[in-house]
Order: sequence, then C-alpha cells, then structure tokens
Amino acid sequence: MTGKLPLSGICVIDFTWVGAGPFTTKILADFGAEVIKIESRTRPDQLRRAEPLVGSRGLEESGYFAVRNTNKKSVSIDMKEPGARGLVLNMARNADVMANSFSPKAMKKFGLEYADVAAVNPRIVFLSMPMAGASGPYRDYIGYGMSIAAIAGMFGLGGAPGRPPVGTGTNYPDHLPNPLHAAFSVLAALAWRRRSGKGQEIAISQIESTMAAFPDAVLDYAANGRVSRPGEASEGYVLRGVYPCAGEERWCAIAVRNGAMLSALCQVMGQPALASRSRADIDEALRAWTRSQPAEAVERLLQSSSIPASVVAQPADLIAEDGQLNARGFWQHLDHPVMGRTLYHGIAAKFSRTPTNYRSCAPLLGQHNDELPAIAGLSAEQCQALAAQGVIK
Amino acid sequence: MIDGLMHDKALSDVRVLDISQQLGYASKLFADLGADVTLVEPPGGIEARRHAPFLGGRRDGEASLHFQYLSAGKRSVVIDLAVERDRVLFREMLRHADIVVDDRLQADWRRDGFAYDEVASVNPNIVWCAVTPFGQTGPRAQDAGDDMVAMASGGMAWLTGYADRGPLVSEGELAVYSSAQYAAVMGMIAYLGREATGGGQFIDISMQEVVALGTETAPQFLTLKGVERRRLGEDERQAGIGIYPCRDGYVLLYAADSGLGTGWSDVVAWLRESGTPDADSLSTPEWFDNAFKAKPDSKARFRTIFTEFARTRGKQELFEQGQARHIAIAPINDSGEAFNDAHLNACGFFTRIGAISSTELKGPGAPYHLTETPWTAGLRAPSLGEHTDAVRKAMLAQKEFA
Repeated sequence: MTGKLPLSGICVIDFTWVGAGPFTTKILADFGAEVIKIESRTRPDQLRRAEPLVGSRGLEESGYFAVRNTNKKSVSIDMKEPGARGLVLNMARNADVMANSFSPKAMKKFGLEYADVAAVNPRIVFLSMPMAGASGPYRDYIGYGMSIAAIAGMFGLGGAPGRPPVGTGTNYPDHLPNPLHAAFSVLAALAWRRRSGKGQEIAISQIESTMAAFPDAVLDYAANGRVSRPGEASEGYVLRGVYPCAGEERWCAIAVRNGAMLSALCQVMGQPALASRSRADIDEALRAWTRSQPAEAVERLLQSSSIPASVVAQPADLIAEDGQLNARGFWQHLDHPVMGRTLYHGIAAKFSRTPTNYRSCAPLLGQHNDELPAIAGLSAEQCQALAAQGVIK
Repeated sequence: MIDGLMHDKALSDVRVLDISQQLGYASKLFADLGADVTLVEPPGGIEARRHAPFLGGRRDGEASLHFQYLSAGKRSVVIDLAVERDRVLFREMLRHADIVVDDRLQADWRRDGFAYDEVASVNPNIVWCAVTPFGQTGPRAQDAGDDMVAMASGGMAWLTGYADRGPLVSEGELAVYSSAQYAAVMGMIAYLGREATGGGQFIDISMQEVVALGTETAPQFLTLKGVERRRLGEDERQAGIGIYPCRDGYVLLYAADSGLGTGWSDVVAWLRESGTPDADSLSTPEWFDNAFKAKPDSKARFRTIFTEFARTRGKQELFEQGQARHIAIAPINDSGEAFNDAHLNACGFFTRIGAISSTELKGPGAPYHLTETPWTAGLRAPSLGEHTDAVRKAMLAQKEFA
C-alpha cells in the first residue's frame, strides 16, 4: 500500500444536500479528494435532522447524515448574505470541482451558475444534479429518491401482481444509480481536463440517470409495446423466489437457472424424482422442505451443490460478527464528538494498493471555518470581516 | 486507437477490456464517453447476448435488446482459452489495456494462466476490476450468486415487500446494474490515480457489499436506536409520506414539515382549497409532529381524507398540480408511462440505442450531459467475434514494433 490516495490533490466545493449529491461527493472524499461542504445554520443540510437520531433533533446527531458525509469538511456560509458569492468564488478559484443538487433556479439566485464560476476558474468541473435536469417542464420539480424511482418506472416494478406497488422500500436511486453516475461523469471530466486543460459543465437529471441504469422494461416497451408488471422477473429461471424457513421471519432466496441445477436441488432435498414434476409441484415441495429447517442450513446445503441461494439478511445478519461483511472488514466504526463511536457502511471494494479505511467522521456544521482563509486565499482579517457581516457563521 | 481515429471524447485515450458475462453496463459507461471498449467473449458468446428482453417474439442470440443497449459501440473478440494462438492474443490485449472489467475469482484466472499478478508483471498500469457475488475473500467467497442472491445477502430484499407476505426482490436486476456502475467508478478512480498511487491496482468488488450500500439507514437504526427496519408494504411511513390511490393508479407523496421533507402545510392548503371534506382537521398543531403522524390512527385519517381528494383525479394531474405548490408528489409510472413521459420526451432523453437487422431501437439515452465532451450511444452492438481478425492483426503489428 502506498501513502497517497488516488484522488489526492482534488478539491471539491460541495453544495449538494440530502441523498444522491452527498453520496457522490462522499465517494470522491473517500478516495482522497478534499471535499468542502457548504451549509449554514439557517439552512443546514436537511439530512442533519433525519432519523435515526441519537438525541433530540440537534444538528449533529443523525446517523443518516453521518454515513453520507465521511471524510468531508464543513464550512458555514449564509448564501443569503451579499458577501457570500464573492467568498465562494474565491474558494472556487483553486478548486477542481463544484457540485450542487439544487433545482436550477437556486444556483442562479446565488449568482453561481457555471459561467460565473468558469469566469474565475476555467478549469472547474461544474456538476449540477437536480431531480429533473436543467430544462424541460419538470425542471423545478422537487422530490426524493423514491419520487425519482416512481417517475422512472422503478417503484412500480417492486411488488406483487394485483397489489399496490411497494418499490424497493428505500430511496434506491439516491444510494447507488445516481451518485455512481454523477461520480463517473466528474471523474471522466477530470480525465479529459488532464489532457485538454479545460473544465466543463455537467448537467444531470436524476430521473434520466435512474432510467439509464434500469433499462430493460423500457427497452421492451419501446421495441415491443409490452408493459412489464411486477412478478415477471423469473424469465430465464426454472425456479426463483424467496422461501420461508423455520423460525419467525426467516427466509432464503433461491435461484435455479437450468435443468441441471433443478436436478441438483431435488437431490439435495432427497427427492430426485421430483425433478420431472411440474414447476408448481416442485415449488410446493421446496416450500415444505425449506420450512422444516433453519434458513442458514438451506443456504449451505444448496450452495454445497453450487445453487445460488442466500439467507435474506436482516439488519442484524448484515452486521453479525461472524458474517461475510465483517470478515471482509466492510463495516467501519468512527468516533464522532457528539454521536460517539458509531457504525458506518464502508466501501464495497478492496484496492490492492490503496487503503479504504475512513480518515474522519462527518463534520460538525462549520467545523472547518478556521481553514477558510487558506481555502479561499484570503487573510484572517478578511475572513473575520466576513464573519462580522454574518457571511460566515 | 487501433482504427487510427482520434476523437476528442472524454475517455478516447482509455482502453477497456470487458471479460465479464453480465457487467456490460460498466464498460458501456466507458464506451459512451469515447473509450475503446472490447468485449472478450468465449466461443459461444457471453450470457448478455441471450438476456431478455428480446425483439418481437424472438429468443435467439441476435435479438436481445438488453445486449444491444449494453454493447453498441463496443468491439467483440472471441478468445478460446484452450487455443494457444488465442491465449497469445489475449495476453497481448491485456498488455495494452488500461482497465479490465471482470466477474471471476482470481483462483479461476490463475488456473487459466491470467491472474492479475501475472498480467501486472507485464502491464503494471493495468486496473483490474473484479465483481463477484461476495468478493474474493471471506467465508462466502466461493458461493454461487446472482441478482437475487445479492439482493438477499446484501439486505435489500428484507426491506422490500408486503407486511403480510415474504420479502421480495424488486425487478430490474438492480444489484447487477449497480455493481456494474460501482465497478466503473472504482476503475476510473484507480485509473485517474495511477500517478498518485504508483500504478495500476486490483480492485475486489463484492455485489453483496454494493447492495448493502443501498440499505439506507437500516444498520444505523438498529445500532443507534435498537429499531429493526423492515418491509412496510402499502403502509405509509407516516401520514403524508407514502403511496395513495388515485383515479388511474397511485401517487407517491412525500410531505412533512419537520425532519426530512417539506410541504405538509401546502398539502393541507391544497385539500382545503379543493373543498375536500375534513381537510381543516389536518392543520391542528399535532399534525406537525412526526411521532403523531406515524400513529396508525393518524395515518388512517389522512389516508381517508387524501384518498377522497385523489380518487377523482389522475396521477399526472396530481403530479403537476402538486408540484406547482412545491409539494414532492410523483406519479407511480409503468414502463410505458415512463417512456411516454412529456418531460423526458421534451428533453430528448430517449434515443437510438442500436439496431437489430433493419429495426432501429430506442431506449434510455444519456445519464449525464457533459457539455464539452458529450455522451454518445454507439451505432450497434458487435456480432460475435466481429473484430477478432482486425484486433489480432493490429496487436501483432504492435508487437512487432515493440
């Protein structure tokens, strides 16, 4: 392992809030970029108040905020104050990336659109990732990850026939598709800048981004006019489902892709003749068999015959001491001045030359205000004056 | 580049080898920004060629819409690892590659003579991204997996479904697509960081871990509050945050005035102004308390009132009118409604994504708009082994020069 992280030397001015945006800049921060989050006491990141909270509605107690903001710095700047724009432009002069997830009118109101920032720093990579993009009828519409999943057709494909759709039960687009697309685009723009010397503007519509990584149902409709419905995902499988096991709320997911796997399954169940019966018969026998034993035993028995199977992991299973995730060191624990030592999702990859352990927990609001003179290239006196004006607070 | 063309695209100097069966979305991200991407396929072709959906009623390897979407603009080279001359070609391709997208365990590659450390000894700059169901290490490293196993083992299935039935796996192979995206991002990070870190790297990506990143706050609810998050089904999280029926389907409403969310007062005003019975009863102080709104009685009262309002209105109408009032409301669209959405079409999102014989195909377009180095879809997916001879010739020429 070498000491230097892959993105060391990259500086990101971060206006993103809540879900997908902060997770985008977290990826950059986790690999060595200096990410400076801009909020204010009057308008903090909404996620600072989101459950699970360890206390009673302070700004430094949210487990949600904490896991989305590792390795970042925080400065508190009131963007409503007239001096804020100049301060941010000074910060942007030496930055590599500026990111926001507001609807287009907010950055306009701040006087911090791409042209404003490029005028002081033509090498800036300027990322905007509102819900619905920079133009079109929905450009000012607001929403959360679930709203994006709903519009994109993802929510409607989570469920069972004849029942209301339930989506994934989470704000899925916020956690994976949208931050990953956004991070990829920023990294690609940085790669191009290294060759061309030029920055550029990146505009993302989170609805479009979600649909790009969820294409199959739309491809089917576009080519064949066929509307996909929940419960049809078994195409390409002989048998596929979540089966009840012994005990309360214990389940095992089983996916049988072909005849050979089906024979192996029936062997494991001790009912080799079953393989020639109807799918419904096999399904019923399998259900009876899984119900009679612990989910872990079902998983191990099927895996020993190379049949894809897994216990449906509950949160306690995910963090279990003896589980696969802990064996790989996925979970990380960090000390936070207010929250104490808490659990963080880690990085889903191990690098052969680069450490992936977190360096610092989520920042307190304004924790790095002292570094503003260095970040913005201003004197301590100039920053004190901005504080006296209420710009920094 | 092998064909001698130098496009000024964001990634036109990046060479990617995709040696995976199902991670085509990872190399698509590179291809659509100008990288030189080659699929390395076994003699029968990769699984993605036989993946649904298909064009018309066909089921053959030439008719997969999925494969067209993932592979347009890429090249295809067939490598039979049992044939020495193919092994020579593959070794040469690896020697010139920047990034590899892979889905096997290193133990398997070692058996075949192409493990990362063997390749890195001749190409120390190579970034090798390997996505496997559980990663390369740990007690489950050898386990068989797929999208469903990842969703189950990573904790997403537990959060999905109805309270009165078992957990569900949401459709669309979310685990596969997200893992592919994750591989692309990790690969770009290592590629960009080659100077800082002193060369290429092996990146061991676990699908289970990628999925675990999607579990939102479930692990923190358990460790910070002792609360086990589980599937809610149709039940709303609290009054104003959930799905509600309307005339032609369902809308998702996400309105609160404290904690995460805005717009509760706007929803109440909307209901009141439209003359909805009992709307006034929702503006008393307790309706600004999330704990109160999470009580079953509160949820039921709001549901009755809102449903009375929504049942005569369509989801698109509710979407537009609610958003005009700054309420985070959204229609629950099916794939047809999403494809025909007025906003997405006004933005020109859907685009030509390839062709099967003479049939032009349309599908999702750019996930991002880079103003100076635009995203572009490839013309069509390669037929199996279409570029084997050309690549062999080019590689041998380079080898002689070297």
